[in-house]
Amino acid sequence: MKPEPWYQPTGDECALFEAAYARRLPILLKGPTGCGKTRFVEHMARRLGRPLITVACHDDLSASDLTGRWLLDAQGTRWQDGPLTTAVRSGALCYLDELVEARSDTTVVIHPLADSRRVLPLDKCNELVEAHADFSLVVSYNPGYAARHKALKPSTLQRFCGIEFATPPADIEAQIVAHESGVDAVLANRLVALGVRTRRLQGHGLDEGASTRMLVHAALLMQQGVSAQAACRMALVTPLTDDPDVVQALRAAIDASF
Amino acid sequence: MSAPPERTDPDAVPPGDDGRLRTRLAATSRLLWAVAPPLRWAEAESDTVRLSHHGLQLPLSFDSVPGRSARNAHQAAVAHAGAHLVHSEQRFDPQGLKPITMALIGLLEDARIEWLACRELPGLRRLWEPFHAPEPDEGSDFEGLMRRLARALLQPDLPDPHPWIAKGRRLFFGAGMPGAAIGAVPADVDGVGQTGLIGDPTTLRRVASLLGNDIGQMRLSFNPKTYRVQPVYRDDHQWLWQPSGAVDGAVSTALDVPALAPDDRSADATSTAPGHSHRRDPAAPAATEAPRMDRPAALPDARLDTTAPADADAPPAAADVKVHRYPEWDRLIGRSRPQWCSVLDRAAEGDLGWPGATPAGDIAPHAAEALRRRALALRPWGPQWGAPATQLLPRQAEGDGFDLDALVDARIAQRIGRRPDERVYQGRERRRCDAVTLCLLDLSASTALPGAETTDSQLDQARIAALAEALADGSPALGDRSTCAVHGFCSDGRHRVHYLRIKDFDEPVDAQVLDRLLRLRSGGSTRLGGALRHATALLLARATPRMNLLVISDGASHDIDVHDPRYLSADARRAVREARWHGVAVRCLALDVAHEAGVRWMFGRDGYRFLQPAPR
Repeated sequence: MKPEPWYQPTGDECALFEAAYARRLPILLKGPTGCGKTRFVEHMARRLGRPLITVACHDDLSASDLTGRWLLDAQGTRWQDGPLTTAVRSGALCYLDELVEARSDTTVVIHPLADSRRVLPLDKCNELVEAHADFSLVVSYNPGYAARHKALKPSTLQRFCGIEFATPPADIEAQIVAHESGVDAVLANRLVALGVRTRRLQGHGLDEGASTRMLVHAALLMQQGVSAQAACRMALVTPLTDDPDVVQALRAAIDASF
Repeated sequence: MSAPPERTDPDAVPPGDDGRLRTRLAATSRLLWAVAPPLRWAEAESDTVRLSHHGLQLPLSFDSVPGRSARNAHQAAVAHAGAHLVHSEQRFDPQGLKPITMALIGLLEDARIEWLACRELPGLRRLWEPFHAPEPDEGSDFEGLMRRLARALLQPDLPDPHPWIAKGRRLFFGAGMPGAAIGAVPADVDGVGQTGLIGDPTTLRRVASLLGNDIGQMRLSFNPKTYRVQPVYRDDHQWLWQPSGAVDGAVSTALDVPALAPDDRSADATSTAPGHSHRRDPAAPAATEAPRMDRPAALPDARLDTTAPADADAPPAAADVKVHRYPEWDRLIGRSRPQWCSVLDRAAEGDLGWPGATPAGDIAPHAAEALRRRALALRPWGPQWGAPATQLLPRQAEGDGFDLDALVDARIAQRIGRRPDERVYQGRERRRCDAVTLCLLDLSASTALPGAETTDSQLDQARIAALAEALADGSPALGDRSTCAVHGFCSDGRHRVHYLRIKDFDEPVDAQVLDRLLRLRSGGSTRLGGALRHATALLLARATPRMNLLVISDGASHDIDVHDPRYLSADARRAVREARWHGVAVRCLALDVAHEAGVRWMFGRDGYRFLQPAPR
């Protein structure tokens, strides 16, 4: 068994998650990309001693992909549970990452699970699965994407309790970068300061600034012996933008930072 | 520290592309210092950098910089000016100061803010130092000594035998200047009691006047008229001096420079070494509480890029305008008059190219952010016109459920000992068909009237609605590669139907598009037919199966050369039908309830809806 994934709390999110889980309330994690939502869920699942089943949602994810489907084998047809059904039966935490990306008909499947009924109807095999007592549902949601007309329906959203995530405060972010990559505190601080700088261009050439994950990537490259400038260009500039002028500005900021 | 090797930069801005250079410099300024001073280009012959409360004026090229690309000089200038905006919190009172002392105060303040800047961004040293390289004819005249002192203060390790330079160094670093705290102090500086307060203008003035007296005793001549701040990337120190009549020394009173939100800089403050910022020094309480940084960015940089106040009102060059002639339907004779109406299409890049546009300076701060926010709160209409159909695909290898026919066949094959076909599922596929939408904005004078149930003008409502549609690009209902253009029109007789491209197909909704939207102004008449035909032609040129034309108009057709009140409506109705014959879905977002009957007649019973007031 892998050790408990390291997670640096920025507030009382762990206590809130535990409280919601104690009453089996479905939880919605809201926050920008790369701020630690997935890591948080992994951490909490381990802390609560529950297995975690993660589904990365995409725009072709159908209800059957979650609930299951009939398969054909030598003996005839056979029902194969999907990841959600498996979690419901076994009492795992089911984490639907970026639920907003899934097709809107897919999200409706989780409705009966996310209210007091706690059941999963499997119409295709005429079964109503009662959720295991330990089962709980966690979904994540990036409001930045939601603004681009991908939004969850109120009927979906209102079933959840929300925990809001943001990019961590600079000192905590530096701790995270240092811990995840092994760079020293001075370098971590410099990287985080650069990350904060890139976020200033949000809405002025960048859709989003550098996430904590990107900063960790840059730090890891530096630990591999890559120079600070090259690591930042590779981990931050290239993935952030294609605009040559913004690229130049970011490079100038990187050159100034190291 | 040695100068970085000169790089040939494949992405360098080609000569003459100053708009891109400005965008790049504005972004650099934001990144480094979270400030966005308006950037302007200086007159052709000037190569002086000026920083004032109006913004930062840069020469287009630094001709006097040998062997160094102008881009580095621009970057150095922007980095230096930003450091002033952040660190030069006190303005000096010029009263009673000799010009020579003023020049020295400028030099010392430059050195001080560069030290503070390098502490936060050590790489800036590499950017600035090459400009301080000794010049061959550098002597011991006043200008020469000033250059040498500037270099000596930025690079304390460099030896300089001149006693005045040594004294300048000693006073600067010993007077509690930031260098003393950094530890990079040269050996000959004996740390003369750190009594001075960091950034204390009194200390700086005292040091400057001491050094100025020495210049006088050396009998060196100083001509304030010809004196130029060196090196070239440093600004002319206008920034440092209190405007005449000002009492308070704090910068905040006169600052007109947009800065970023407070959390941004405070986040920075926590991210860097503690105590690095003299802004938190108790000696400068007024500056700490300065409202300057509390002002969020008022102007998106790209807007500054498109402004050219001098030529904003000039008529566009003929080359920018393409004239298209369209027929017009005459209801009385029951046929079209060929080539009757001229549409002047301004396919302008950058600016709107529209003499009737609001000058950039008249756009309220935060207007672009507010427009975007309100548009995002509005539900666009286009995606509701019909989602792409899903179709069931038989005999698929994967799918949500069995295809019963295929399943039976497979089973039979199995029973008779043949290899069954594994494709027994029924697939479900969305028909990928991306929509091309054109929003046609009515800009006629009547749209200046207030809309229903709102204090916004109809044009404001139309702007928000058009932007909401444009932001729906790529929504699932429209398809991943859907695209929306926003065009506007108004007319001035049949020979002049002005057609403006606010956002073209495949153009992202960026600051420039927002700026063009904001600068639209109501004026002229509504000759809808011609504009509709032109918009239809543009859509048909895209040759896609799904074409949507959304007219945002008050529906009141009129023009100065038409006296039959039904003539233009009949022509518009005809144009709508022609567009529909060609497969373009035409609808109208109506702005004015008073003209409902006319709108219904032109667009049909299901072809219109009223615009809902956008939430504030």
